Parts: sequence; structure tokens; C-alpha cells
Amino acid sequence: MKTWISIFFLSMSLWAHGDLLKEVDSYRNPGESYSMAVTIKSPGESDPAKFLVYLKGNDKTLVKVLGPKNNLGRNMLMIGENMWVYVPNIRRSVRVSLNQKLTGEAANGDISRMRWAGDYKSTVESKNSKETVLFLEALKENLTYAKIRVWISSADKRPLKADFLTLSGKVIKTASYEDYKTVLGKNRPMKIHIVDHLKKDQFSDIIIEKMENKNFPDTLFVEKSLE
Amino acid sequence: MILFFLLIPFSLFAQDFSSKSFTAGLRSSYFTDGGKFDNSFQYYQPEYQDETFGEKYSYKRNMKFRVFDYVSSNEHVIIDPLDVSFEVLSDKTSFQVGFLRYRFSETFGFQLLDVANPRDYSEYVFNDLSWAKRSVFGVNSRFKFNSLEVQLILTLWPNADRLPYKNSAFDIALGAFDYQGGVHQRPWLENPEYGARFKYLFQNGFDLGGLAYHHFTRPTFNQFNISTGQIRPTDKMVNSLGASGSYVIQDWVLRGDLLFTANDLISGEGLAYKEANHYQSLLGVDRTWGDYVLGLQTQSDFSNDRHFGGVRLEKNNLASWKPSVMLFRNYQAEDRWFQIKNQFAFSNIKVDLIYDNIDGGNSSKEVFGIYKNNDRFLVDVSLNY
Repeated sequence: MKTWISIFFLSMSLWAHGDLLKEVDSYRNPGESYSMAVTIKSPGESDPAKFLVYLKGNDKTLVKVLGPKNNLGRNMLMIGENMWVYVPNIRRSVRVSLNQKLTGEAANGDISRMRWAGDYKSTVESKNSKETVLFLEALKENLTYAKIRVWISSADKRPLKADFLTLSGKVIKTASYEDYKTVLGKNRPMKIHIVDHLKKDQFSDIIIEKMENKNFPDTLFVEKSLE
Repeated sequence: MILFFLLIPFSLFAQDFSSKSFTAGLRSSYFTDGGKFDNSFQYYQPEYQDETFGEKYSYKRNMKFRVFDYVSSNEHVIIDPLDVSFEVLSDKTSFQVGFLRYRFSETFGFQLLDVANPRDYSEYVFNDLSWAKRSVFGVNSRFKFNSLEVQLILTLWPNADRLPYKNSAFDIALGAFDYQGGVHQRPWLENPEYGARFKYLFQNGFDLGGLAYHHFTRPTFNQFNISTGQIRPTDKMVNSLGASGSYVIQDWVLRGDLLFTANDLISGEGLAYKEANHYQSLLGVDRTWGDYVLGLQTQSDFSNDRHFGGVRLEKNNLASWKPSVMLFRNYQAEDRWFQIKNQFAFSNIKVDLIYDNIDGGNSSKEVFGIYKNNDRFLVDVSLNY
């Protein structure tokens, strides 16, 4: 009987935290299918990297490179946990992983996989009137990060900060969710400041210039669209 | 007329994304055998693309031409429609019609599974796919059922290879016979090509594909008529079956292709060819780490007993310089191809400096037999608006 009660409460807890993660995700994701124009600025890079990102659900993303000019055409496709990057001069797509470097300190998955719900199980590490700390552990292999510690506002559940950790628990990057603005009916972080702890003083700013809800067909998320 | 219909302004729909650019450039190669700059031409490349996403249907239009204006020879101006197409996409299906360059297994060195696209051999095999792949006119339809993608292709104008020009450094007849060279014309609708391809992405990341295709023999073989002394391209339709797969293990990607073509034309001695069943395979490994992409592959043509190994290393993410190096060689014969490529990009100006060295023996096992330790230097300077 005790076992059944434990399973029931564990299930309820996972369900509740799943819902909590969905609420946290809703700040960065305006809908099931949407596009965003993204600029990534990193110190030492004269031309900021510009991307147009088409996302559908948690498992389909097409990233178009809009700049700088010498990287034009190096578009990316994510299906499930699989990712391809297109090499225009040889007209060939090469499979890569979500955690590989995109530009500066940003990884491919930082702009292509924007939802945590469904990818991670969460536990509440601590909670006070101001902040709640969630600890996320990957439910799948080959995600961008194995573990994440997320600080959210206790009042409205918006993300404030996240530590990205390796499987062994070492913090590799910290992201702060900044510049909240009302976009598509909700207050959303329009800047993600990523600091790399493995390289001293290195950081990148992911700036979301524009977001639009769009109904993208499944047929858009195929390797052909990389060209 | 077809171009006109494809390019009708789509003003009824507000475009969600559009991009346009214009590139003008000069491309010139120096082949040490010829002792002069050869196959030099100016090129112009207007490009336009837009996308419109609707509730039920989405639309994509592409317009990309390349105009070749020859400097080194009296060749006519060539206007190549690289991608002039209109595509309608719904959630599970898409139809694209126009001048297309199909995606059909892209790798480096020789292209094995790509039986659907003709090639530009005006600079032999040296040009990479962005230059070598020619378009056809056809209908490309795709159906997506979760992880399964099915592609049906009907090519109404198969187009044909552009062969090395007569009296150029790559003239296969070495000026000794009546060789035609240049663009080999094929009529519209007479011999359509058609086929299907499927691709399935398994949960564990294993990507499996298969194809069946009815097509002209590729590459084009030339027929030597002893009585007239003429060398002319052949036109033979064949059937191919192929399979491809790729699998990711952490930072490593394993990939492989198999191709069987029934009664294909395969190389014989010198300019001769013969008809035989053609079996080919490719196995490769890619590794991306940091800014580097490394590719290793082995490629076999069992019908000709040709077995190649290749390695290619590319560095990305340098602000204005993209270097790559490739070695491709037959490990049972003399065939060898070495390439160093440097691409520089400064704001609107792009400069490509490419060095190739090619060498081969004279047996039927060898492809590069007419070249003996030859160097080719290519300079491409372009301005993009």
C-alpha cells in the first residue's frame, strides 16, 4: 500500500513540476509554432551573428543564417535530438550535436531547442517568497545540457537565471534572462546573457529582435530546406 | 514561357521572409599542362527567395541564375537556371516544380548516389558541388509521415552534363579527334527520368534511406566513331537501386551509401566503355569538434575495381578565412587528387584560391589517367550586393 501511495505522490509531483516547467517555458515560447529573429553578440566579433529561427513544438527547428556574410547559408535543422548543419560550398549537410558551438559562447541548442518541459524532469531544490530554484535532469540523450539549475520568480514563474551543468555536475555556463518586454501578449525575456565558466570573461548576448506566431508545415522541417 | 509563369509576382500574399542578392565575379583557372589561364569567365548570379506561411498552405519561390560569360574562349554566353521554382507546402505534403537541383546524397570527392542531377565537367572533377551540380526541369513531391519522408521525382527535362570544352586544358580528345565538348543538349519530354526515394529517421538517430531511379547514365560517356573520327556523347537510360544510412555516436557520424545500376556504362581502356552491372559503395566517418569538420571515407566501384580513400578537413568560424584540405586517392593504383582551398570573405568581396594536384596511371582501374602530376590553380573573385 505504501508503495502505491509513494508512486501516486511521485507521479503527482512529476506532473505538477511538468506543468511548472511548461509555465516557465511559456515565457520564452509564445506558441506551439513560431519564428524569431535572433542576433548574437560576442566580444571580439566585429559582425554580430544573425539568425531567423522557425520552431514547431519541441522537436522541429530550422535555423537560417542571415549574417555575417561569410556564414550565409550555413543553415541548421533540428529533428528530435538530431541536428544537421549545411555546408553551402560543398552542398552537403553534416550531422552535428546540439551542444556544439554555434557562435561565441552560444551552443546550437541555445536557439534551436527552447523548451525544457518534456526534455527534463525537475525537482524543486529551494523556494522562498522571491525565487524558486529548480533542478532539471535530462530525460533524453544528446540534449544541449545534461543538467540545468534554474532560478525562477516565485510570483509569476518567469525564468531569471540558469546554470548549465555537465553530467558530473560541473557548471559550464550561466544564462541570465534579461530585458523583459511585452511581446505577443506576455512579458518575455528578449535578451539571454550567457557566460562561459570554462573560458574566463567570455560571454555572448542572445538578443531576440522579433517573435511571430506562424503555422509552419511539417514538410518545412526536412534537409531540403537547409539549401 | 515556363520561367515567366514561375516568376509571376506573388503579390496576393504578404511574404513572411524574402531575401535577394546579386553576385558578379571572375573565375579563372590555370592548368600547368595548358600553360595558360584556361576556362576563364565572368559570372553573374542574381538570387531571390521568398516564403509565405498560411494556415493551411505555405509557399516558397526561388529564383537563382548563373550567367557564364566566357573570356578565354569563343563559347556562347550560358544562362543556367540553378533554382527557379515554385513550391507549395502543406503539413504532410509538398510539391515543387521548376528548374531544380535535387538533394541526392552529397559527399566529397566523387559523388556516388547522385544519379538524378547532371554535372558541369568543364573543369573535369575539380569544381565542388555548388559549381558542378546542374539543374533539371521537374516536379519534386515529398510526403512526410512522422519520421518517414517519401520523395517522388519526375524530371521532364533531364538536361545533361557540360563536358570539357574542345581545345581546353581538359579536352578529353587532346585535340586529336573531332570532339564536341560543351553543353550536351537533350530534348524536353522525350526521355523523362523518374523515381522515388524514402528516408526514415529512427528514434536512436539512425537515418535510413533507399532509392529507385530511372535515369540517363551519369557521368556521360563519349562514343568514338573510328570511321568518322568523331567523339560524341552517349544517351542511354538505365535503372538504379540505392540505399544510404547515417548514425551518430557522440561526436562521430557514420555514413554509408550503396548503389546498383543495371546494365550501366562503365569505363574501359582509354576512351572506351562497356555495358555491365555497376556496383558502388561508400563508407564515411565525420567528426565535428570545435571549429573543425573532419571527413574520412572509402569509396569503391566494384565493377571497375576502383577503390578510393579520402580525407577532408575544414575549419570554420574564422572571421574572414575558411581553409580546407582534401586528399583523395586510389589505394590500389596511382590515381591521386589533392586539394587546398582557401576562401576569404571581406564584407562584400569574396576571394577563393584553390590549388589542385592530380595524377593517374593508364590502367582501366584509373580515372585520372590522362593527367601526370598536374597542378591547377583557381582564382575566383566576386562582389556581392
